[in-house]
Amino acid sequence: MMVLEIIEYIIRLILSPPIFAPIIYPGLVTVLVILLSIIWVERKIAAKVQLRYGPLYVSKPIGGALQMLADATRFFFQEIIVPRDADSIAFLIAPAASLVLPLLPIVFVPAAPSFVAISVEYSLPLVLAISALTPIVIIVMAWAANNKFTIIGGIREAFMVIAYELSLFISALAMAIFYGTLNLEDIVSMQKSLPGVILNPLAAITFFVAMVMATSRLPFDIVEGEQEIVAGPFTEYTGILYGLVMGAGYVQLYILCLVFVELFLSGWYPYIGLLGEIYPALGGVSLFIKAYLLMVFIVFLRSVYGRYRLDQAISIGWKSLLPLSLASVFLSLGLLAAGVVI
Amino acid sequence: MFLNEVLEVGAFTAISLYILVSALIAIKAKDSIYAAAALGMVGLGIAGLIAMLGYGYVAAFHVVIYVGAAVTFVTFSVLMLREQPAEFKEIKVLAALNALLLAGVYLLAIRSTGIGELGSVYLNLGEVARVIIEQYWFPLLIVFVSLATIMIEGIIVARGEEK
Repeated sequence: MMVLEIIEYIIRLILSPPIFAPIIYPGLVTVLVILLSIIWVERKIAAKVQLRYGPLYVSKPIGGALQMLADATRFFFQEIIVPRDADSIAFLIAPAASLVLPLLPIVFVPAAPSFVAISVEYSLPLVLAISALTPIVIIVMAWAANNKFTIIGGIREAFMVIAYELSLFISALAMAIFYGTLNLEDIVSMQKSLPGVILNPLAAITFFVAMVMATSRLPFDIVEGEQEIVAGPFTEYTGILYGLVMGAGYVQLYILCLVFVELFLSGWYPYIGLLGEIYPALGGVSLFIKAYLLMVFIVFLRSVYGRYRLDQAISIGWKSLLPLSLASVFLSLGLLAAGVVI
Repeated sequence: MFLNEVLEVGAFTAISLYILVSALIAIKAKDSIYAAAALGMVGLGIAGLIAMLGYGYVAAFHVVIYVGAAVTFVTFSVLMLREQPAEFKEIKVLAALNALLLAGVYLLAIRSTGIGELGSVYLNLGEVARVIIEQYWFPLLIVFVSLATIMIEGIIVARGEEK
């Protein structure tokens, strides 16, 4: 009897949102599945566009879908090399921090109505604030490796941050101004009938482009610039450390896609009540599907766009995105003044 | 209820200690990057304390500005300039006197406000905005003009470099 009670208690504990959300959905386990699948999807799409097969060698019957799992396993067994001139402590700690920091905001991102690890009134600025810390780790990484390619990559990262950060925040705040709340859950609940993207498309476009810049996806993968600076700040990393830094970018992409869907695409609506009765997080599966499709669209950009130069990207950030984000704030204020009520 | 209070005080003490240790690292670190990272940790700790006091909004913006922006700029500068911190002659007596003076000021400030009299309050941002616009419109105007001036200066500097 005692054992059964303990098991029941443990199951209840695991299923409680403060544990389930950060560890299983939308947290760690989901992130792992996404990492393994989205890289495969990205490579497959790029291959289709370039009339190739893409990854096929591992698990041929299912289109090479397990290739990423094989790659991850390989990373585990590869030697970790710390360059002689590198600052070894920062060099080793930074990759772990680069994966943990983008993952932290997940505790403030609701996955379904009242389903969030830590419920706070100011979840939107908190998520954006913690996401804003990742570039620091990338700069530290570049400094620690002490190599000309990493330093150039680090400086590029810093320039990019200055170019997109302001627009990302302002466009998100434009939606907060319109909905009158900084709570992501409240923002989603107000989009039940009309998604934010229809009300304020300017904010959506700005946030989207800034998000692509923030996650260093093409056409803004200037920080890594494979053909120019090897792998930018990640050049000296090998083995599992490289696996971590490579995964960090996708984790940040996932978190920002969740925020985009919650700000502009009605979040977990249409809510599937039937699944919600089984477990609350399941009802909000639309949020995950939309975020995943958005990720697929963003990784698809790799196949159709060339890379911008750094000066072009900065120019886009300051001359196009910033005015657009400010315009989105005025649009929100205009909608409020016009008495548009959700 | 008692357990909650104990946990709260425990968390507050732990965060305070973490801030002190991070601040010490920030001062003692030989490399500017480590000092900047420790400064970021101090900022995160302070944001935690602010959040515990019930001002989550202020805590979020503290992270954005004092950790996100400030530390990014420090690390960026170090990376660009490759500058090492200058060596200063230790002035322990003056530092001790300064610390005592600062502690005295803090104690006086705490005594004048009274510990425990101020609880956490719900911050209604709409109300705050209304008060600022109605009662402090002139300082707000000055802030707007200053920010606009800085922005124009920034654009002029950027265009100048283009030539």
